Amino acid sequence: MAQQLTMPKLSDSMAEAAIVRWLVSPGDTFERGQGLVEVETDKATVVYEAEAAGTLDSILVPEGGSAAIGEPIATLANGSENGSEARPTPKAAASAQPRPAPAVTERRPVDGAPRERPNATPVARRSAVELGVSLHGIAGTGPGGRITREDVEHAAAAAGEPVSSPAAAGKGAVETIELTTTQATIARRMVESATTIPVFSVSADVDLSLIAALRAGAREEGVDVPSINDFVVMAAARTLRELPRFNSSYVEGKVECYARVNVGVAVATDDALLVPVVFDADRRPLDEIAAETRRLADAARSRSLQPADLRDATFTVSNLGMFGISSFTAIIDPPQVAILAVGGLRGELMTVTLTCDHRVVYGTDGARFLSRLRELLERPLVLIGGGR
Amino acid sequence: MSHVSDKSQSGVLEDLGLYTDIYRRMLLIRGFEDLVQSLFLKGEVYGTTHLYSGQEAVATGVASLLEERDRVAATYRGHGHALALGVDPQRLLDEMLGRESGINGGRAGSMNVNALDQRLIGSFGIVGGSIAAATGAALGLQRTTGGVAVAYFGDGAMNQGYVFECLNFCQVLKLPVLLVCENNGYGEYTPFRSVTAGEIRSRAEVMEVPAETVDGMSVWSVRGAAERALAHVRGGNGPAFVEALTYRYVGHSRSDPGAYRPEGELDEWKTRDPIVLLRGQLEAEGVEAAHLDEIQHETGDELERMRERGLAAPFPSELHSREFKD
Repeated sequence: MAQQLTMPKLSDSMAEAAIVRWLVSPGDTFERGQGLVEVETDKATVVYEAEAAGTLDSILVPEGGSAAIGEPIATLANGSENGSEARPTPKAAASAQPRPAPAVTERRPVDGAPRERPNATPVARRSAVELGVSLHGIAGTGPGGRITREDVEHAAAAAGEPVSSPAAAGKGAVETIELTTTQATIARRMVESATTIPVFSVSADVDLSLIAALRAGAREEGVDVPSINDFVVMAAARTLRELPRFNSSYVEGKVECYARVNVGVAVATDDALLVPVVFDADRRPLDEIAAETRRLADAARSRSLQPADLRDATFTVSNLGMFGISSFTAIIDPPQVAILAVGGLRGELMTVTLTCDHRVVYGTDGARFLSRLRELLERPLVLIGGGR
Repeated sequence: MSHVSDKSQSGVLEDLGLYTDIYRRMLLIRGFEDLVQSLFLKGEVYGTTHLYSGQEAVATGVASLLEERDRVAATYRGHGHALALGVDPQRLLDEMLGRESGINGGRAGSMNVNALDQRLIGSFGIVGGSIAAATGAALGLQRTTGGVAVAYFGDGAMNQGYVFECLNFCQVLKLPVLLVCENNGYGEYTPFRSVTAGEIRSRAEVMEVPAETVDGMSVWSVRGAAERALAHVRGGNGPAFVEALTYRYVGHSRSDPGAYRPEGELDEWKTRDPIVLLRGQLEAEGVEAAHLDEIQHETGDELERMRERGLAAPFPSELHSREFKD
């Protein structure tokens, strides 16, 4: 079986990290000490150097993807000089989205009495917490009977089987679906958001009749028409510039306000939600914002976003209007302070809902934000003409 | 500074057996740090670690002169200090891995190791804290066994105020302290010269503490300077100070890729690697290369066995039950 290269621990405090750049390609051989991959940890971007010579077989986590410590990021060919046709088809390195790591182990049961404190790897301990399994009673297959992540996953899978789980019987057969790395990241960030940020929401209805008229006129001219969401992104960016407290983060009892206004635009893909970023959206004309959001959405769907496209958003706009949703509330993407949820048009009215971090802004701030946003959307010439 | 020719000459090493042992110990330290790094990458090491790779000549050179009655206060970059004193490498590794069999029961981790039966009174996470600890130890030693307290510390510590209080106190009371400054060129991420005025040595000299700057990549130069300094201290004349110019091969801690270092600086220092230098000298004086190769293989094998044993060792069963005495 091919050996795996796992995500190394490259800082004292990292739990997971993102792959910035692969420095070797599938099929490349490398020497001990040669840089294999650039990894962005919570502290710095670090080159991970090979601990032994070898050959890269395939990349499991492409550039832009992330993985927790100990998770496989690539497979290695064990010194065998197989031709490229003998290798599994390498994953496209240009793809920006991580794929689920294949489960590759078979169970080797080993007798082992439960200890006072189970002997388990750190990754196994974390997996046990995530999967909700007890380490007690799991027979470890690692050195000295140590419990590995695979052992925990097997135990969790076994626990999920209908035969061994009476609770599941009433719900019928259970299909366990692994989260992709991106989905796992989203899950973790959403829990962080929901458990650490005290939120409130404010809503307002915006009259889009003037924007609708502008768009209708442009469409008759046959030119590319900016979407309603492009207007919303532009108006939000302008409002953020005027109300900088929304363009900030809550950091250890202080508020960090940022000079640049970078608006993330949520894009649904087949299996995840990505938020590519329109940088300096407060300084760009509408046609540029429209072109950039189109590029980012296409790149998100074709999985060719670069890490730089996904970083450093200071605010997020999420729009479900195209699905006929009248209004909804969104969850803040930490460490941002607010997120704008945009509903669909009902006649000429559109409902926008701003969810805010109450540690940084208060109800009247939220009201001020939405009322300015509404003004700009209802006075499109002010918005478009004054954009630069 | 004593100038050392990189061209190996004969008759430099007064005792080939002793220096062959030092060679083995330096290899052990380097290999140990590589092993810790490798295990850290796999998430097996609990807490941060600061590796000693590149500075091996300092700890081994000084430790080769220490007696049973002496005591040592190390820094948080202390694995090399501990191993040079003879601390069991398996128990030190197990400590990094948080195991019950660790030298401090898996409770201390990398930065807080002590081994009283091996003369190591502590590894100090506070920059310059080792100097204060050694000062206290010397106060006791002066009244009891007459041993010397050694403090290792870095160039960054020389800008800490209490270091001067300790130095003054030691000199006024003529305490038996050997101060060993490992000047590796960087205080964490900051180049030494951008935060330090004048020469480090002269800060000791202003209190009339004899001080010497030495090539910290040459173990026989370190040993020579330490020998002169210890003669002064053991003679009841108060503290002495050695500044060893050296270099750490890796970042400050395991979170630091060391990207602030000028391109080529590391490679330049590596041309004067303390282990390579000593090996060249040993061979020039007639020690067989095959024997030195054998030592290298033995050390590698020993470290591989240590890795396996360490990972198989049990974790502490109850975290809070251990009582600390003395």
